[in-house]
Amino acid sequence: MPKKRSLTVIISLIVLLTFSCGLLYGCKSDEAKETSKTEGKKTADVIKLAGGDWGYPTPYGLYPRGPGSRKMRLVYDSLVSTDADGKIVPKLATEWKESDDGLVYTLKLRSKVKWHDDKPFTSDDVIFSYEYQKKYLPVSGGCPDAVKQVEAVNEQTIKIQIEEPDVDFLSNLSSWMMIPKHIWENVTDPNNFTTDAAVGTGPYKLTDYSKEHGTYRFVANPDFWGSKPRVKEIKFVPAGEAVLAFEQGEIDRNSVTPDILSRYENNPEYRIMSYETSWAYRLYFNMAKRPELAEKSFRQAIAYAVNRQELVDKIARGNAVPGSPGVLHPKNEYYNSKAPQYSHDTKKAKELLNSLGYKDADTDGILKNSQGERLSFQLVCDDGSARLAEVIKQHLAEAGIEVVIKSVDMKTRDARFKDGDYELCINGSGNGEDLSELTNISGKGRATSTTAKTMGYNNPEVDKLYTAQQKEKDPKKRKELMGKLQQIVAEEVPKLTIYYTKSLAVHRPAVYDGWSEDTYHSDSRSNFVDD
Amino acid sequence: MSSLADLIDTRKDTAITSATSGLVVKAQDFLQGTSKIIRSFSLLGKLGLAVILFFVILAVFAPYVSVHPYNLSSGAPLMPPGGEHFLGTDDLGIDIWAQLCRGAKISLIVGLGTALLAGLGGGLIGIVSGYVGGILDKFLMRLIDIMLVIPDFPVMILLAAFLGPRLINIILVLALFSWVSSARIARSQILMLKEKTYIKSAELYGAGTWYLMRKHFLPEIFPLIAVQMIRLTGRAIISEAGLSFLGLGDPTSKSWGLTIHYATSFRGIYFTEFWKWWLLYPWLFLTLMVTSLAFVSRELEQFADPRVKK
Repeated sequence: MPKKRSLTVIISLIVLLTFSCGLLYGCKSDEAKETSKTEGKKTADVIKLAGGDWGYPTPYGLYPRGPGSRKMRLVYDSLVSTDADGKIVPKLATEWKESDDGLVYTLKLRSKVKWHDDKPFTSDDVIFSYEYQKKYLPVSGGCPDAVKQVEAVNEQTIKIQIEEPDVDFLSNLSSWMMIPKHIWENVTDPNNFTTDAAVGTGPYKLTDYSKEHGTYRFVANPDFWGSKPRVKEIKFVPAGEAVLAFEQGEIDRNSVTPDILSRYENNPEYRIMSYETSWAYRLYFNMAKRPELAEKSFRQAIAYAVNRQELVDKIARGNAVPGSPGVLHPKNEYYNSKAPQYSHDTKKAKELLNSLGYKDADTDGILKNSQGERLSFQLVCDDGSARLAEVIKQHLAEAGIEVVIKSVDMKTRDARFKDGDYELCINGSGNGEDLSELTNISGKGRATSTTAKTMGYNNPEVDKLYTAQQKEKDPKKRKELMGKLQQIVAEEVPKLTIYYTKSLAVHRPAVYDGWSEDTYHSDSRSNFVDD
Repeated sequence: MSSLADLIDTRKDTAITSATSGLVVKAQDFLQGTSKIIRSFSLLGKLGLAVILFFVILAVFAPYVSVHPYNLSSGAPLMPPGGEHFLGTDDLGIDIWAQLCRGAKISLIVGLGTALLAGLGGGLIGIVSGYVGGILDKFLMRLIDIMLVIPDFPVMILLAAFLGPRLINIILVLALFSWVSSARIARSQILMLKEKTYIKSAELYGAGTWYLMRKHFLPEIFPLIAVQMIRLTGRAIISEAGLSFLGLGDPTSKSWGLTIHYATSFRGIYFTEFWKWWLLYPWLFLTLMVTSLAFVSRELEQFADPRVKK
């Protein structure tokens, strides 16, 4: 009896093994048999993308990260926006005029614009959007703080007064979303207002949303004020293994790593698009919580100890640009190439720490302060950056600093980051330069960025330079100011940029080929509609 | 084992007291008994035992068996097996063999720790419940019923997340959900035993609870509990791997489940060749270990459970 049973066990094990191997390999042979020669399609009926819960797509319901904002922007419009080169482009406002002193902007609103429920969009809604969003702050963006007053000249014209001149004022308006007065008027708890609330003027109407499944369905708005949306329906569907989902046609675009790029190269069925992004991982120092970190040379030591090139090679698999201590991406127009770079040098890091009085008396590899306390920090990171943290831990251990990794989920990390509940923290963000979070000037108010106060960093010179460059209209002088600012920031390293990611995305031109060259985000509005 | 060998050595060299000689005789009996049991194993049982022994050796001598550190990069990332890193390296350039040796240790600690805690604790509860009876028995049995109905893995996930990912917490959580079966087995045996005439007569002659437990109950139910414990070991190892795989394990422990977790979180690993070493070997180790434990426990069942006897 037992002999027979053991035989069955062995046989079933073998069957299982071959089956699982077959599963892993099988998918390879099925694909890539048909190579259509058709030119890319510029329109599509349905586009499916990998889902995930990023909140309800209203200015109050979204989760304050890129994917949340981008879904909201399919539904809502701002008055003006910026294009890829930073030029101001019209949205709900078609013309704008700045007064000579730079304090009053007069904007002419687009005519015949309708909300998704067919009610007309008027200057009343603009004023309501200002007053309501001043009373209830949206989760990210909102009306710029500098705005003093918004008034309607007539139904199609508004006047905005601001506190002091700001060159970036119009581009800051791009994060202020217009919301309909007739929907929100009586809403007192906007964050939980999620039943039929997504009524905007944008190119897409939300028809379905499931928080649990992370699915969304957007349908083109036939009355959209701009050009006709190229995609009739956008679906965000659950995709467990994205590569598999993409190859089986469950999703229509996927971002890939260099390791699997060979599957799509030299195959006319697929098209690969690559982007250099300003999205970066950064290491934050909480100087308020750990006074050691407030010492400039201590942070410099960490900058020397962390081998950013190795992180690019290992974690980003070579598909990234090592971080510049001056925060700005080397391809940014204001980049200062002369700012200190801190090439990897563990010896120098140790020297700096020794000169601060940290010694390793009992030679266990960890430095101690004069009281004999070990130099140990907790590093908060999210699941996605846990491996990054692991390598940083190794690098800092070589310099004599102990790191204890606390890996939490993304939303917890974001919350702790915002509240300053960390000693060291790895966070990533994109969109622009992010120098504002080193100042105490209230900036764009993005919920995932921090402030100098939270970090315990205070340099009035940085604040002054930042404010000055905001007001500077001459690009040459602005570049000079930005250069100075980066010089200071790179010298003081209040945060360390680890690397800027590059992005590779694959799609099938035969399904849809209208993906934007300017943005690597597949859920970005510019992929589906020209405004 | 080494202490036993020492004991035998001492007997050779020096004059011995009767007490030690008694111990030695007992030890010899034990060894002889064990070898007899092992000899009666089927081929699969012997193979399983050999595999378990291999892992024990690996765990104990981990720092000597692997030249590379288990927590530091020692080579280029994702090197295929061969050469200096004979099972390859992971994405950070950490030697896989070193991680697996370390993982063997973690798995054994978790497995044995849970099995001891749950097996002995559960056994004791079962004995008390069966022998004392009455209200206490009713209460314990209903408690066991409740524990049986609760789906254990989801609650384990919850508790692991709540208590924090430390190895000792994992063991405690696993033990909390594993004592039930040993308790039930022990209780049913005790219920049967306590009606036996020899127990009744022992009671009549004034044998106390403790005496009965030591002389009659424990020897009778120990083989059953031992088999149960080996089963629990396998289950605990799988559960720990499961929790680690979900990212709820101790991130510093480098257990097999954690290695699998990192491998499967590597984007698109199945579409590269990296899984052939980074994922396959920890999976193979885990499977081998658990299968071997299952084989051994099945063999042992023949001695403990008369129903399975040939």
